[in-house]
Amino acid sequence: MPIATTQPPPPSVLQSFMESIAAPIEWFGGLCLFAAQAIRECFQRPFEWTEILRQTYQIGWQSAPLIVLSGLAVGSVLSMHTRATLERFGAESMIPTALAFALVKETGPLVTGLLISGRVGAGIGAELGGMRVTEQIDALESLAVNSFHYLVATRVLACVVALPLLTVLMNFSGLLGGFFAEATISGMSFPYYFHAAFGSLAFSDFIPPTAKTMVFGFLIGTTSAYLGYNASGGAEGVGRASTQSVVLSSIFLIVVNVVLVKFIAFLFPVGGA
Amino acid sequence: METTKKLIVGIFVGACLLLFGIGLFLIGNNIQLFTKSFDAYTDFAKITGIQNGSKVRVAGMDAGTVTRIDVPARPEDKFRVHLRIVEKLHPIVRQDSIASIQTDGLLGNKFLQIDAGTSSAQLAQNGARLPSTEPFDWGDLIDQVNGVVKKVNVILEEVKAPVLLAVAQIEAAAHSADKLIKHATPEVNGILASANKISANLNEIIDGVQEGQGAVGALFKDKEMAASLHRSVDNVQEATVDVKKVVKKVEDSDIVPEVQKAVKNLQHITAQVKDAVEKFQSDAGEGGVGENLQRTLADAHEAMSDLSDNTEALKHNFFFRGFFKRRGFYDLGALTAPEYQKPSFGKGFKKHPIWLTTTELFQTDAKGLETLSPAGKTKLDAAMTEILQLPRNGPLMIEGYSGTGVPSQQYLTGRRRAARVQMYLIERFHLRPAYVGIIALSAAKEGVGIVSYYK
Repeated sequence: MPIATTQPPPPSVLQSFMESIAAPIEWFGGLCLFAAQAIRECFQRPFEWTEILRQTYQIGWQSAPLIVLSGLAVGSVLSMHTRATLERFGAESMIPTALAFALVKETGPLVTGLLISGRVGAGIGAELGGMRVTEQIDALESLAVNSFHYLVATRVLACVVALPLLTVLMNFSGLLGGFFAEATISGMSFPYYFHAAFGSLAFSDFIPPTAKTMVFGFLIGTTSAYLGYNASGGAEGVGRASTQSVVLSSIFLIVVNVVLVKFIAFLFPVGGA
Repeated sequence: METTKKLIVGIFVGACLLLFGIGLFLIGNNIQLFTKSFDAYTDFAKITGIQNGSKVRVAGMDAGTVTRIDVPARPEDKFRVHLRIVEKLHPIVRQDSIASIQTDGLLGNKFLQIDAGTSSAQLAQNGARLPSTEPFDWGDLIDQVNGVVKKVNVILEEVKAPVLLAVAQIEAAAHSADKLIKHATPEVNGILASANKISANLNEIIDGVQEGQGAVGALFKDKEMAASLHRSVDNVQEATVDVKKVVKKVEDSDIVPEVQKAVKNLQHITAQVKDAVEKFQSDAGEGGVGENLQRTLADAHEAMSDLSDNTEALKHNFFFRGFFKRRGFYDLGALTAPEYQKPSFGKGFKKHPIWLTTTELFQTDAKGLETLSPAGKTKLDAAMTEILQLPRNGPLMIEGYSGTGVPSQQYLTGRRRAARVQMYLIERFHLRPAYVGIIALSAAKEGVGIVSYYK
């Protein structure tokens, strides 16, 4: 006599669809709560100055060569493209101005954010993911150490501090690269170049775009730390966390940049964003 | 964490902050934030793109920024633009420095241009108002052009009707002129025929004179003269005086070359009149109808002038003057008022005067000119009916009277009135123009007198 078995019924199509939608929303909700906790932890004592400085050293200083080299290259390329365009109108003298506007207002902050999300986001995701899968975070917790405060808040703060500094570095190295390109082609003098470059800039062209990179730093630090801090699945999970850190932080950065540009234009209507 | 890393982080952060500070300084220096400056303001009805932070240039040199723009409270008020200008350019910013809104290049930003003032004007003080000129706006220009085009359209519409009317009048005038020319051509041909006839007659006279025939008086229809000549010849023949001497005397007299010269002139005149008439009749003349007409009239005038001189000479010649003396006048057109009023004028003729007042004859048109009224023409017709009953062997004199104004005005008005009546009578009753004369006379009365002389 056969024995009757009771198996759960297969999920319906609607159920499967709802689950597929609910998963990313759930993930995004977790990220938001993680970000809120990160903000809260950043302002809670004790401040881990040594760890913050260490992370700043790694995120900021060790990224400086990449930023400077990228800035020189981007500045040169922008200068050449700008020349090719303005030359048609006989407006070569406006090349420094156009280059400064392009670099300071948008290209510098965005390229810096993308470069850091690639270099630092991957690093944070991999480092925290590795610590999670090797149970180092659990060990810290067992020692009554607030792992979130120690590992996540310090990295997010370091990103928030380092991004504007690296953006300034990117802007100046980009202007320098543009000058090298322009001096080579047209023999433009250094004083004239920088006078013309900053001649048409206003504070609203310089400060808000630089300041918005703190938001970029927060996004990179939070997203990467969230993915690493919640990693699972051994080495594969670490790799996945590292990759997703770069991809998602870059996407968030670009999308949020749109909102920030509009927000800055709203706050500083004269200079625009 | 090692001290080196801390040092490196410190240097990195410090260096980046320094670069940030340099950027701020360069921008601040560019907008004259750290230089001594003074404030001024100016007013514009339109600010066309000027905004807070826009550049201010004094005589083309970067000199500051627009610090604030006050929006007008009422539509008729202006925007007040506050400026900050560097102190080093203060000496050339005077009270007569004019502010204007300019564009940096073809596509550049708007900026505020302040012209250097004049030495005679005082320095613009801190917070002073600078005079301004409104910016050039293509939109305004297009609006103005549209306005002008509309006005032109309106004017054209207004002018169209008068212009069309004028064109129609010109066309009508040209048509009338054409008709006049065609109408005048037979008359000119008639003149030519008459001239030919005169020429032939004169030739005949001269031939007779050269032949010494005694029918000269008869030829001229002057019986008295002919009889006189007959008697002279008879006396000569009877007295058996040397006929040859008489003939020779006639032949040697000045009359022959004079008459020959007159004939030559007449032939020349005839040829000229013929040419003139031919050109006059041709529409395809060298310079067009107008020029031909003008030239023809000039030639005809010259010819008629010559003819007049010659015939006048003839009239006073011994052989002809008797006729004119008996007629009572040589030329009514050349008659003056004193000559007319002499008792000698019309001696031997009876006079039949008819008096017509100005009121009976004339009406005044819109331009204030006197023209014959229909009633006046009727009166003239009645008067001529009376005159035509009389023998027509003497002159008909039209006396124009006027007592208004100075003597010259009286003369002109009187002559004009007489001329109107003369033209009407000649045209209406086909009178011989040579026998109808006009004369202007001053008197305390207004009107026209028609005096018929007859025997």
